[in-house]
Amino acid sequence: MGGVLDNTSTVCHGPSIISIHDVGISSCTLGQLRHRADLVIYWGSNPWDAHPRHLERYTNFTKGRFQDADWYGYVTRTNIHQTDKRLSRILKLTPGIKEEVLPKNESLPYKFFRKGRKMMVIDVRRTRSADMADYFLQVEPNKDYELIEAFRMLIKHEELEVNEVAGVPVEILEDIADALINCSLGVIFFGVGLTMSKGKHRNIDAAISLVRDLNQRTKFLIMPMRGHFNVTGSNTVSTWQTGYPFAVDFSQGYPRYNPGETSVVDILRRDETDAGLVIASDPVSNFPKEATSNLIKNPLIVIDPVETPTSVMADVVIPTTYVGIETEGTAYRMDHVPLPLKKVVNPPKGLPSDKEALEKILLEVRRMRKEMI
Amino acid sequence: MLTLTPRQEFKVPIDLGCLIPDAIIKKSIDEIRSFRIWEGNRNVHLETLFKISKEANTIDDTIHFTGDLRKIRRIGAKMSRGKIVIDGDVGSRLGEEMKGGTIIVNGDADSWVGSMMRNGIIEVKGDIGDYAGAAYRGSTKGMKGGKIIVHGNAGNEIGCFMRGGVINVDGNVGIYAGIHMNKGTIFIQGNSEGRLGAQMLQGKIVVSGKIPSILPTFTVDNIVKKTKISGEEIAGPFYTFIGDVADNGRGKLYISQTHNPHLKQYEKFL
Repeated sequence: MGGVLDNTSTVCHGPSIISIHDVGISSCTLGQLRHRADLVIYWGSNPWDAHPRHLERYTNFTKGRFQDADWYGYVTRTNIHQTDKRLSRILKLTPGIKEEVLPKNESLPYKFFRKGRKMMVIDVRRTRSADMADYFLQVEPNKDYELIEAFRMLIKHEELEVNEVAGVPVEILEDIADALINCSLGVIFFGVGLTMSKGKHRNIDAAISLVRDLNQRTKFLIMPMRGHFNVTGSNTVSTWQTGYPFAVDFSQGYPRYNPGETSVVDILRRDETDAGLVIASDPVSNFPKEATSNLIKNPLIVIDPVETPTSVMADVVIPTTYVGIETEGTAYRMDHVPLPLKKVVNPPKGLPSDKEALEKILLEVRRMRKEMI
Repeated sequence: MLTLTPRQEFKVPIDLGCLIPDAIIKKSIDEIRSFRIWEGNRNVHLETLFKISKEANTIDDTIHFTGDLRKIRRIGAKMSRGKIVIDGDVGSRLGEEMKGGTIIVNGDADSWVGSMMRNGIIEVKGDIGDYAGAAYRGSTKGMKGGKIIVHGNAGNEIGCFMRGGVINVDGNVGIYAGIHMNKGTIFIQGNSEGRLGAQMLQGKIVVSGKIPSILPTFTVDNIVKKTKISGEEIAGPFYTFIGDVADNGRGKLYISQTHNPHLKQYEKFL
């Protein structure tokens, strides 16, 4: 047809992919981290709310071969946190006692200078994951790049000429840099808080460079916290089919790639489309308003098992079966490991799977093209 | 001189990479009219989209565009001689991989102006978008030579992976000017939004206006009274910074002293 094919990574981890083109990535599978990682850093991500099974299956709360689970520490910290909350509530109710204002960033706890599994959260606000971490570092919004670059300087034993970076005093940064160097296997999990803040793909560029620098001193890895179900799979398949992971433009008969020019949000914003096909995703609730209004004013076809804001606004809706419940299939985990999905129940009669529906459309498109030629 | 005017307002992007001075030399007007170009996913004749006229007595290798050209991409791509004059706004990738000649835009230009250019001059009278003189996605070889002159403002990441040449912006620029820069010169007469010269290895960036802060990976070097850009003296005084130290870079930043009193804290290290 000569259209443009894009997937949901364009609104989540597209910047990570663009930066990997520039500097590469040193990553691994989650099994490695479960058994070996002793310093786990969540940067701009909130796994307790967004990836609920991640902590207990792959990192701090699971017992690996060489690392112990940190459940005991978690329970203690939660108790302390709850007691803190209760005390502050009492203090507020008691007249005449002023609430003590805690410093924004405290120094590193003693645990970071011992062996054993540690968890650190770096974010702009105190999330649920930050509450259960051993250490929480609060950065000023949109200052992640400066912080990463400061860490890169400290790891090279260079002195900083400023007193604080991104709202964090340099003394604390020096302690954290020591902790980064002294771990035996560290990992940075970064989320949309890093990819979509000011600087976008250059933040990831710097984070990967930080990991590259750290690998000269110890073993360090980095991994994106991928969001949408099987978005990694669509990246992988798109790469081995077309050569490019997302935003692939086929309009001139061969795949071309230039996010910003061929990515779906930019195309919709410039109003360059005349029809849309959405498969199992929800652009109406994720895209900017301008792009959404341009998407729905043209003919829109939705192939989706569930009712979404997009399918409500579509001209044609083709309901399909759920993969992993009513049809078998393959989904890629966030560390690029393909997992087979089993069928559990029979689908309603006459309901096609995504694959069957698309194959039928493809056959019809090919027949029409032949007639045109 | 060959003059082109759009026949209607375009909806889909048009790739005009084939229409460059090198291609029209010694071609008759009928041959030029039958050039095949891409309008979205359709391959059409040039004549169906543009009104084309040719003045017989003028020099052969000048192309003149008029009208609304915001949807037209890759004008002057890979050109090595001649002149393109554009009256109006123009789309992205203007003068991509240009090897010589001149492009003058009397209006605004979109992103990727002069990306990966080798030689020649691009002059834009209005504003430009992001990635001027940058490299293509995943490439580390940006602009290698030539000159980009912008009389208005520029967007983010100008001179990304730049390897030579000069970018001269009269107005303000966005963040990450000269990121991953490896030789070449950027002269910003207006203000910068910051993160100047991030991860740069070599090269020179001069800012005559304000800058919110310097990245922590740069070390202050000196205060100089003036500096030179392609033979022309620029009056200061300027703070000079060396970096990016995190990448073992030896690039130089020249930041105006008079417009940036908040950088006085660095003077104690001199």
